[in-house]
Amino acid sequence: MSRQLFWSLVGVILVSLAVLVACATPTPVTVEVTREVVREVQVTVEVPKEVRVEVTKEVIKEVPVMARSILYNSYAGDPKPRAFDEKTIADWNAAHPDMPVEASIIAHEDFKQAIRAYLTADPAPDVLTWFAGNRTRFFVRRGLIRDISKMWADNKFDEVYAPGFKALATTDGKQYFLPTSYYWWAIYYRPSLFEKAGITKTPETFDELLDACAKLNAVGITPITIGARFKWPAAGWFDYLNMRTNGPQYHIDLTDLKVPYTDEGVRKTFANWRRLIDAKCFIENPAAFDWQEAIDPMVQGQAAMYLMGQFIVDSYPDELENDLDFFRFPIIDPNVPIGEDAPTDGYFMSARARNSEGGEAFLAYLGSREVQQRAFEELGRLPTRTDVDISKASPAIQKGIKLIQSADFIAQFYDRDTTPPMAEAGMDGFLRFWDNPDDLDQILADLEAERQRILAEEGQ
Amino acid sequence: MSAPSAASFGRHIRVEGWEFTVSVLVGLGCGVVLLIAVVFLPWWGDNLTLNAARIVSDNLYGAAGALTAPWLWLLPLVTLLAVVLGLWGALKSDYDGVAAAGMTLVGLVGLSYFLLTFDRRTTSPPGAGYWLALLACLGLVGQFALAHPRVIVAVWGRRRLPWSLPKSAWPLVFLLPPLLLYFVWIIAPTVYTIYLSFTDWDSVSDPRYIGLRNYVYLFTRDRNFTESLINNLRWLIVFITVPTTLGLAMALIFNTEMRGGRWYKVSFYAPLVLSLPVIGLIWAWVYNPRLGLINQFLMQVGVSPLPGWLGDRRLAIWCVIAAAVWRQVGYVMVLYLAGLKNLDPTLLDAAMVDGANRWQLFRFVILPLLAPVTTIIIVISIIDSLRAFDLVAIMTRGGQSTQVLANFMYMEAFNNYRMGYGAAIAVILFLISLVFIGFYLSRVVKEELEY
Repeated sequence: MSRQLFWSLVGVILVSLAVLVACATPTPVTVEVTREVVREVQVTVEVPKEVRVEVTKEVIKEVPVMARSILYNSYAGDPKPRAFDEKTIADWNAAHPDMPVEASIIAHEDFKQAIRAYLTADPAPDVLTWFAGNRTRFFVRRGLIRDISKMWADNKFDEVYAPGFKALATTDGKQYFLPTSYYWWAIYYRPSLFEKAGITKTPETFDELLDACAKLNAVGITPITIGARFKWPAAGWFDYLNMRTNGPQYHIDLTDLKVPYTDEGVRKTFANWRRLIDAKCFIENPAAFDWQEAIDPMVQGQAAMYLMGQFIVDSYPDELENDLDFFRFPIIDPNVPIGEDAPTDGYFMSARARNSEGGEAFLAYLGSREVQQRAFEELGRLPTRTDVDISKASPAIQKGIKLIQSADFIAQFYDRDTTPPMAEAGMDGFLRFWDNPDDLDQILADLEAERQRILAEEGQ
Repeated sequence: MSAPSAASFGRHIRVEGWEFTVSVLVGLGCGVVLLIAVVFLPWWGDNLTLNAARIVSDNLYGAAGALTAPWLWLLPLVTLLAVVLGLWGALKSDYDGVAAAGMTLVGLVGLSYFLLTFDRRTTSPPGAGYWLALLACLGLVGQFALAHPRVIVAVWGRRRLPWSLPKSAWPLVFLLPPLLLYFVWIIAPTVYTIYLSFTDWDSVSDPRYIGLRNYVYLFTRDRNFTESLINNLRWLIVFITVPTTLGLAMALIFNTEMRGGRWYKVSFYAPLVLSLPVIGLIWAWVYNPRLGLINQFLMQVGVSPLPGWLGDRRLAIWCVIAAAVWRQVGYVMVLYLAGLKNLDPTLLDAAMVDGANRWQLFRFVILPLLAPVTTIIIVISIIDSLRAFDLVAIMTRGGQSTQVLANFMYMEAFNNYRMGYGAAIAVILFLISLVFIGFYLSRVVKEELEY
């Protein structure tokens, strides 16, 4: 019996392995990337260990002090940002053995779900990562975010943070948020594929974009890839098409629920979107891929463009990065101001923070020039401080900064500019439109109904 | 001397005047209290994460800024020994005297830690765990005295212990802990969810009573709700037909003696070993229109245009259900195999003697005899299809018209932060399940009466 059991177990393991091998045949390129990532994590993990041992010895000799740890919850779950976060914490702990940071770093998506539990828990974490815009205002209105105006004033952040970012941190004249980094959105493309299709310069107008699509289609290359299985990449297209068609102010009014979704302006936006779909600009079945899977066709030379945030380079194979460039989303109406999506990340303190003193000190450290300089050099995240030295940056980064600086308006991204239920309904609508553009009237009526419902609930 | 104690179990060699069983049980209780104090309660100050176990591990690990507490490792040791001795004494009543004496010694060791650290109170205020552990150590030392009837008389004023209950009360005593847990974790949350479904709670502000508005909106205005209901219905219909028939067919095939039959059984059962999220990830790769297994195969065969699977609104929900069926078939097969093994061979022989052909044998003998198994399988399938969540959450997050009630509830409550609305969906899901569970229970009760 036990021998039979043994063979059954062996069988189960072999079958599962076979299934895994059969299903997961990743491209060789992807495998390379995975290896690289593992190496990096191992390197950074060793650093805090060395530091810690020395510090502990010191403490034991000293008078025993009550360690007042700082609870820090972070969504830097991806390998590179995570390594950066761990290094930052190790540096802080080495300098402040009496106030060590206890970090909990979890995946981005999970963090978004868990933050309400964090904020209403007891003890609540002292310092948390979060997004500027509607996402922060929501918690401020409910009294869950601590007023950090004093920390801003004490550290003279007014003098070194660009005014736009101070405005982003401020609600009703007080600072609640510490914006530390942002990234740009743009159309990423492979110059070699453009060359192959005979496109000599990157599209600057909508017609040029349609022309590029036609040329790429003619040589059998999918013009634009997108992975919208989890919806949000489609919202990038809506943001840009709407801002380029109607101007950023209209877009921000729409996401603030001040403009009905059945408005003529929204219809114009979708009409432009439809021109792209009808011209077969997009990859087939966009909703079948997640955003990282949609990079594969680009890597394999089968697709040329991808409207994505700057973080695409984190997932793009390093050895192909010299054949990756980006350009500003083409102009549709030259008479409207130019808006760009530049989602801003940062930190805040929860209103129920236990260790408010330590939390503020850690917050000031996270907003310091030293940390931003490192974030800039190691992650390529754009600094919100004006005193960070950017002269050594790569041409791509310099180009990105210029892209944002030349914009008239900075938006946060659809699901950060509007309320969560509206974002969910809206993104679902965008995909329904993508699937069947003829259904537009019904989709817009549904979105308008959702807007009315949210307004009615908030009005009470 | 006879001090009858209902807490004494089994054979008992009694030393004149000493009743060790009570002491051992009290000591065991102290051990458990010690365990809770060391692992869960704050040791210094009121920082919950700074418990004794954590401080010990920080010291061993050499964490930055760790509290120095040289003798604290004694306490986990004391806790472990007290619990082990308590269990040993309670289960082997021959040795309960030895166990009680051992626990007293262990308690003394524990107390020595408090003697060593008592003057540290001024620098760092002890927390609840520290004081509770001190009490538990005193209890460990003191329990030995409880063994003597005179002490019992002195403490309670009579020889019989207060916990020598009448025999009829004991079942209740043993039922109480599970009932309490059931109330705290099942009944109370259910009632609270029903209450929340009449509010507009956003998980941050205070809940506000809004009557039936959530339900009215669900049934009159919400497209996602109708979509979820229809998808759950599709899931349910597929689940009670396809895996059941396929599983039965495979069970019939593999029930015969055949070469490598065991291998086939194992390979069809294997998917059940994988967790649902893993299955979701695997199938998301299989469905990938460019690199996935299916389309790679279709491309070789020359099919064009290739289907978009999860990217196709009309196909997506069926793709998800197919992945679920892949897992369910093996499960149903194993249940039917067990049922077939239990069939009475004499009935089959009798049918064959009567000249029944294979189809008649199956239709009129095997299938009716398998009826109880079929009932269980159908009920399991219904419940599994109603609580379908994992695969949808992993594969599409409810997009592409694949929304189901459980994921819809999750999205509304934890993504859109409409807890009241999510609770209303949960209540409806609960009521639907209740219909099937009630039907099943009534069947089971009726059958039990028949036998």
